[in-house]
Amino acid sequence: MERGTDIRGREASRWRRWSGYALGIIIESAGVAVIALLALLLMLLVKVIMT
Amino acid sequence: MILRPTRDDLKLIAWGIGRVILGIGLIMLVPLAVAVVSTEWITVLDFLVGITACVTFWLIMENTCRVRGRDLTWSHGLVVASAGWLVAMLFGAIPHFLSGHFKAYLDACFDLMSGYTTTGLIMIQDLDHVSHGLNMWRHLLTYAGGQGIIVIALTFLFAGTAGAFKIYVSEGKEEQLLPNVVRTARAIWMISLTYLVVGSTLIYISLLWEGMPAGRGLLHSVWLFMGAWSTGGFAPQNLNLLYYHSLFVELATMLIFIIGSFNFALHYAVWTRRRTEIWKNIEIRSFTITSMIATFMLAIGFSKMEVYTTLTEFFRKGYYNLISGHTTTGNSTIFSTSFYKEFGFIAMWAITLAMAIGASACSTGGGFKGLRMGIVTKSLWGDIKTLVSPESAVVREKVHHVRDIWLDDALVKGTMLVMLSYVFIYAVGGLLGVIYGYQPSVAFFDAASAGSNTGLSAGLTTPLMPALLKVWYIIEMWAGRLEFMSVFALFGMSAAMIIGRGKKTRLLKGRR
Amino acid sequence: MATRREKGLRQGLPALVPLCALLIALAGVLVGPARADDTVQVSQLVKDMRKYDGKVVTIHGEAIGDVMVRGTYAWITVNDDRYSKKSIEESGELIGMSNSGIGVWVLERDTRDIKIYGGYKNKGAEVRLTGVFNRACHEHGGDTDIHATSLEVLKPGYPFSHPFPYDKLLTVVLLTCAIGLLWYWRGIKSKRYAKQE
Repeated sequence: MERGTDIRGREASRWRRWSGYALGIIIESAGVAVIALLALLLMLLVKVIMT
Repeated sequence: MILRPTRDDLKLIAWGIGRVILGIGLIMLVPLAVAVVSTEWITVLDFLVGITACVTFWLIMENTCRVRGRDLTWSHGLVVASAGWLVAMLFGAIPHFLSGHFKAYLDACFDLMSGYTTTGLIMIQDLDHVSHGLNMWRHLLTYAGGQGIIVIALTFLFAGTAGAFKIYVSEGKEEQLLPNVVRTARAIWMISLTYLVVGSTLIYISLLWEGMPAGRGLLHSVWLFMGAWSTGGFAPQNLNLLYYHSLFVELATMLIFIIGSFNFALHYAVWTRRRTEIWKNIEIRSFTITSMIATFMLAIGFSKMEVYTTLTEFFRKGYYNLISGHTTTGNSTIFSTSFYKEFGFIAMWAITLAMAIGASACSTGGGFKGLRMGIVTKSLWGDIKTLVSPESAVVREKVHHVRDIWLDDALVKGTMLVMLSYVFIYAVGGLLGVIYGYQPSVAFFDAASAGSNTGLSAGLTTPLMPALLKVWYIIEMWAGRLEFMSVFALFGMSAAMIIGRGKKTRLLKGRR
Repeated sequence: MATRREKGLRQGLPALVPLCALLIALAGVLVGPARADDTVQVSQLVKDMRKYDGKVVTIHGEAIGDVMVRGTYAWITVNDDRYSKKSIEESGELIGMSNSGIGVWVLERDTRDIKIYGGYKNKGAEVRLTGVFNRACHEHGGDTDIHATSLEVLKPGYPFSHPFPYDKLLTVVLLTCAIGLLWYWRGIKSKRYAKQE
């Protein structure tokens, strides 16, 4: 009985760990998207000002 | 008083280097496999020569230089890291040179150093007719180099020995993700391999969508990922990213190389429980600010040149190349000469300065590093506050980099010393270029590109460039990647050998 | 120069035709590979982008790499450096640069005659194409490219024949023997050390 729950527990923590990593990838990609969007806004601003 | 290193010290270092070369030989098995699958038999032979040469060298070191009962110390580690890269360059260049695509062994060594240091400047000729095996080696070099060839040695060859820690620290990555060094190296590999799968898949889907055939598309997606993630900037065709004419591929590679330029400690923090690190971290903040300033400069420059008038063009030609420069990647979507002819003075210098500043510390990026920019800026700010504060006030500044780091004079002095060293190598490279008759903007652009391990070229870096400049650029790439600490140690040791006192005095104490 | 030749041909037509033909052939041999009058080198286009921007140009080179089909059109890459005539893979000379080529946006059906694209194993088809050169193509996000209006395959591609490098094989054999000996020696040293302890 104990061994069964132990294995399930380990599997659950592995699943939790890898979904944590996936969330990490999403957060990092979101960070990049924010930086790029800010730059796009800045470019747009300069374009508007200079014309 | 400088003490001379003993024979045992030199033997230990040579032994350590032998192990690094064995690592190089083992990594060569991957391009060997690709060449076999692609039925490129002559390339297979090229790699067999390389592998057997590496194994022979390792065995010679094992048999002649093994010092039993002693372990590597911190100073040994520094020397193995710096000298090891140079020896690894010599051996790694074997398959390159045997392919026949290099004018001289110096050119092959240049490409090797460029690969290991994830720079991306190239001397290879007729790249469009190069074998799959050799292209695999070129791109794998940047992927492996990005993690540090030394870290590879750590993971597979030194596991368990205390000597491992010393080499890792000297690789220019002072951070510690986890207390145990070998576990740190493994964590780095885990993050890189996960991104390899996710990133290559993303690029592969984009390539298939854009009409690339399935088989070559797979190879290209892995290669483009490796070039981008490692911030090396290599690509399998001469036109680099322009070859694909694809917004999707550009977006995918841009996403990958920006993430790839982040500090590994940041990845680990965001991947485990400390999600907020993504905006608290000084390097993310520094990068955001400096890239905005550079984008502003770029926009002004472009508006004066009246080229790339639409927002899409600005993004795909301007921002892409700017950020490729700032993250010290080097992937480009334009012809090299366009930097000088199409971009104009302001836009070109925006990129030169972005390259000089560089990416994050403890990453595959180069340049001053965002952390140093942050430290120096905060320190200056602290100085200003001190000036306007009452005499008795104590002003202390801190930066947040995974944890809070309080700035003290020693830290700031060390930071400034390294930044000055970068400026020195950029400046000498630029001046040499000017002396040889190149346009100053072009000379400083390429020199900064080499020293910051970026790899964008305004047209100066070609196989026809003067040999002295090639050698200086190799030095720039090497010193820049090792962030000078190991290089100083190597010079210190060489000086000690020549002018040091004491015949049998032990400079580097080790365990008995 | 073209108009002068045309004028000369028109004036002394009967007797001078065979003489001029001979002279032109000789000039072609002396000057280099035969070119249509408005064939331009890609390196020239890249060097002088503003001059050629929006103009109709003809280029002549090797189709390399891949064809990327996007609907009714496709991208191909055409190199016209010296390697496109004699690649390093067919023991061509090293000329001090990587490659010189450009992306060409062409109707997909025009690419169907190109059976082989250049790479490590093959020399790509020799093509001549005419089209509009764009310094910063608005349709393609600012890419420097050529929108081809006509493409002809002059010579099909062919596989390179790489002679077998016996010297490399010999090196591998010798080094493997060296490894064998060194490994044996290492084994002896370990046993000797173990005995000492």
